[in-house]
Amino acid sequence: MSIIKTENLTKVYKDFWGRPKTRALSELNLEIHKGEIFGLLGPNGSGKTTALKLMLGLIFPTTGKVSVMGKPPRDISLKSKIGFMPEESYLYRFLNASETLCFYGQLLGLKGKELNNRVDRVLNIVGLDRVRTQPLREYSKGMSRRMGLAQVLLKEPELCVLDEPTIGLDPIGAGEIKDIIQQLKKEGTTVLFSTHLLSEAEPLCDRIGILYEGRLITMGALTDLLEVKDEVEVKVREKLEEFYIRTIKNRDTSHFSK
Amino acid sequence: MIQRIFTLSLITIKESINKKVIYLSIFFALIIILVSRIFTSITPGAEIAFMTDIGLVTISFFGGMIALFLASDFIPDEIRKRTIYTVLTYPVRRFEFILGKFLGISGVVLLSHSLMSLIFLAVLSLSGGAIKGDLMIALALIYGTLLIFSSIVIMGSTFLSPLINIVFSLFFYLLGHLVTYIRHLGERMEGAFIKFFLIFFSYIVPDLERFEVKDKLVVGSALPIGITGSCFLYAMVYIVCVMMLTYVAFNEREV
Repeated sequence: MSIIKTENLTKVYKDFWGRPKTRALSELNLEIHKGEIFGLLGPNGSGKTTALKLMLGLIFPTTGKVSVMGKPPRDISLKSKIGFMPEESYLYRFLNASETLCFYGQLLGLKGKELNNRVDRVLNIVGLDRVRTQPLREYSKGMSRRMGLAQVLLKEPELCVLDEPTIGLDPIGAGEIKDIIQQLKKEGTTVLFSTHLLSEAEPLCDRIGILYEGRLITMGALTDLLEVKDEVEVKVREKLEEFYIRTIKNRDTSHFSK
Repeated sequence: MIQRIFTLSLITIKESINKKVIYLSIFFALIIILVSRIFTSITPGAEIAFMTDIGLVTISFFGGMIALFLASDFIPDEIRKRTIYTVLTYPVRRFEFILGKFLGISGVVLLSHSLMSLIFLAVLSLSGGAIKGDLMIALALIYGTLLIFSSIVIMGSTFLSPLINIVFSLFFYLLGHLVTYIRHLGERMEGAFIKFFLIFFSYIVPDLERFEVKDKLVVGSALPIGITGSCFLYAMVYIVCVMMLTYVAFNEREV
């Protein structure tokens, strides 16, 4: 079953006068299945964040279609089922961790004991329960990222959309976030995350898609993509990093030869 | 829905508490109201009227400043700091977001307006002035104009840059005090198009003249009966229309 489906999804950003300025995404055809971890890979500026924002209904497609759980992304009934962690944790920095989660919990319609229990549980998971009364402006980058993840987990979502979830984190912090992502998968949550850090995609993803200059240049199960046949038909397992560089370079070569 | 709107207005109030413009405005209003007591000697025999005049103008001006600087920046600030990304991925409809912001700003404006009014009434009372019902009505009507003004500024903030929005909103605010003049001008015009345009425009801009009772109060005239009800009804209808336009503009906006 597809959780997210895009059909020829295209986004062209326009200037003040409505003239096309940047083609951020071109004819993206993608299906993300229930319960999988899908990694959207690509260099900076390849259209990853644009694709995620289109799937969340924060921006609108120029042409093409996107559906999430069979509905348009702006459908209000979807919003409590999708957790989104942006590239940076854009939270209200004058609030502390408890106040932040209470605020988001109230937007979900939670209140009273149910809200407090869920806030406590989530703060425990992300390891911020001891600093829950400290304002977010005093948090380190790693703590802010965990707080961003906490507001995702608060929803107990069916789909998690994570934009560069470990960027700027130290290895321990990144490892903790990866553990949480794997735990989400075990619980049956679908995870879509974007990254340009290949080392984080390889151990986590069931399938990946590589975006380059707004186009999806390859997509598939990680095990299939990383298997290449050599001349004597012996299967050699390629590292994702090698595969990624080769794929992008091939693309560049074909692009220049045109 | 009500819980979400209430939550959004509460966060707006909490965020406003950190804004220096509120404290600066209240501080300057306090200074002017206090200083007006010293300068009553230039209007012998009309000291209380002078203080009332200065006090109401000061409250109206600084209340307007608070409304302008808060309302012009809140939605752009949410977009700039990208806090809106997270909020709009929660089950928040865009009209709830706008309404929450408007109610939050109205709350902050009410708090600051009440504080400035209390200072003014205390200084007036200490100077021997009577606190009459008409004075309270005048203060309530100033709040009505501030609500209308806030709604216009919020509407501008959904599609204009903060600086252009400030100019646009002040332009509307000033024209709102010239509605009768614009309408009369339109009626006297000969060209059908310009006549239609001016009369139509006079109905588009908020009729803030109807909220203007300071002059009557200063000269001691009685205020028309039912003025508070009619003004607040007008304010409510106008604000609902502006909020609907704001929703239309914001609903199509990419964040």
